[in-house]
Amino acid sequence: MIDEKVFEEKVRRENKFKYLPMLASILPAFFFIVIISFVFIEALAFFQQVSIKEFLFGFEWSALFRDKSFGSIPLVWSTFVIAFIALAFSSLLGLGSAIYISEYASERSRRVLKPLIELLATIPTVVYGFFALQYITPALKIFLPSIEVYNALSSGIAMGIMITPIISTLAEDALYSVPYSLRMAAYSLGASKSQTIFKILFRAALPGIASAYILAFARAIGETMIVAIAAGSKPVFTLNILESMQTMTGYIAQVATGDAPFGTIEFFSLYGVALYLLMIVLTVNLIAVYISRRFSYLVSRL
Amino acid sequence: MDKLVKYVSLGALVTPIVILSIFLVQVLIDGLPHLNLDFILGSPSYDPSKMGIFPVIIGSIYIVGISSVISFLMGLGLSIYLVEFVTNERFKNLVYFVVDMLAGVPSVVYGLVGLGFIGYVLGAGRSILTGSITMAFLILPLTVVATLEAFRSIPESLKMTAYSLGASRQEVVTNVLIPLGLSRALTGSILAVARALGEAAPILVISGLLFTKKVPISLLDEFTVLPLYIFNLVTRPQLIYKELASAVIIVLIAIFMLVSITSIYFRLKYSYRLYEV
Repeated sequence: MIDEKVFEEKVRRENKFKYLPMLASILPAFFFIVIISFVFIEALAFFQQVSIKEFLFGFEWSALFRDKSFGSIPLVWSTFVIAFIALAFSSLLGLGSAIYISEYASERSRRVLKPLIELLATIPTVVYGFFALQYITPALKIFLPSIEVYNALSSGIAMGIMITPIISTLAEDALYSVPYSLRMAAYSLGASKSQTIFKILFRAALPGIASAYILAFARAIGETMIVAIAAGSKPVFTLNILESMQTMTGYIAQVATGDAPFGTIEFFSLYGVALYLLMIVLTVNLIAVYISRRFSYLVSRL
Repeated sequence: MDKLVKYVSLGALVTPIVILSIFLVQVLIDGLPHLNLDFILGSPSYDPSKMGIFPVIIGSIYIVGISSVISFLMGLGLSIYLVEFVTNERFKNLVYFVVDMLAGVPSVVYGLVGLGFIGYVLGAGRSILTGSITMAFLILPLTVVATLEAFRSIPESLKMTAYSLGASRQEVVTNVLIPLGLSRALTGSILAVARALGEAAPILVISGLLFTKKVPISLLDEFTVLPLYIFNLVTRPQLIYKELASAVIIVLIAIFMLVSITSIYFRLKYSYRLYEV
């Protein structure tokens, strides 16, 4: 016989217990909404003073001078230039190491190499910025004497080293998760190992590899400390990667260091830039998530 | 051709590791001579030869400690709820999607929202409290990956056994899920802790380039953290500051290793071996 009272008490406790973990799973959504709406509201205050047209299509950014203009194209341009340098530098390194770990390394060395690569990803980005300014720029100066102390190239390279572990971890997951039977089928048809890798595995893992690159690109766009240290603070629209450039995140960092008082236009311009940055990065991320729907390394696909 | 692919890909794997090793050796050469007890226990000074970083270390410990605990508890709750309570797949996928999007938000934007919303609107100011709550949400996606993996790896049969013995959900959670999953969740969260320790951008926005001798004590005190202090030193032109920055990098790495060893200790102490259950 079930005691009614004991049973009800248990049901009541059971229902009450549910709410704590439930709260925890709603919090991320709550905070995400707070992020988006807060940045949006503060950016509105900025766009009341600066027209959106000037902001999106203007070629001059001089927010910290007396004669202010807020054309974001130089910032956006520099952001993409440096992110592309990073991607160019890391694309072969990341994919190459993914191929090695997934296809050539023994199971035992794979178990060592994977965490080692993940460990590389935990090096603080401020340290990469230090490397860029202290070691990479002087090394580049040997070959490129005209390079400036603060320049886009060295921060792009440092950023490339930074995102290499991201690409290799994600691309390795994609390659490794290609069914073993596909490899065996290729070998049984007489394909060599390299043929199997390039003609079979690449095709099967393409969505995963592509989204690895896209996610790494998004990380490069949002990266702050490397560019704040090594890219300089000249918001110019230039093709010369040996010159100093200022990215969107670099601008935010510069104003933050200068302690812009709450309520001034410099302060609100931070949120204008942040909203733009957020929209770019989230779009890029959405594309990556969309492409990799079938793959299992995103949280949403675990 | 096969050999070529093998060696090229091996080269791709080794290159970044070699570059980083060279850099780190250089950091050790530059930094070690400056590393002594006075440096670690002293306070920041305008005289580079008397420079110390004690308040900065305390700031880092506060931020990492508080944000890790907050975010670990949130991750724990979230994973338990999604693994054990929710049956609706669409709701689960929605939560995972939101976590993925949170992971995509640039860290400097977290800083802006933390400063603006928690700091100014909610009135916590440029304090440790603002910094650690912001950091907790920043590292949440990493914590969630760790905790989810831990709780998913618990065999269904163990839970079912507990239910068949008449255990309530709460009892299953507190007596089966948490004891079995905790060690794995903690070890997995080490990546999140590393992130909290190394992240400078949001703290740069929240605390600015603070240069103070005061050791932060209360949660509402101003503070600065080690990675931000590295930034502060690097941006100065004199050579001596670069060497001091190297010394701070060594301290940062040392703390990270300490945290890793602690987490391994926890794993050994609390790990239940499944075959013994």
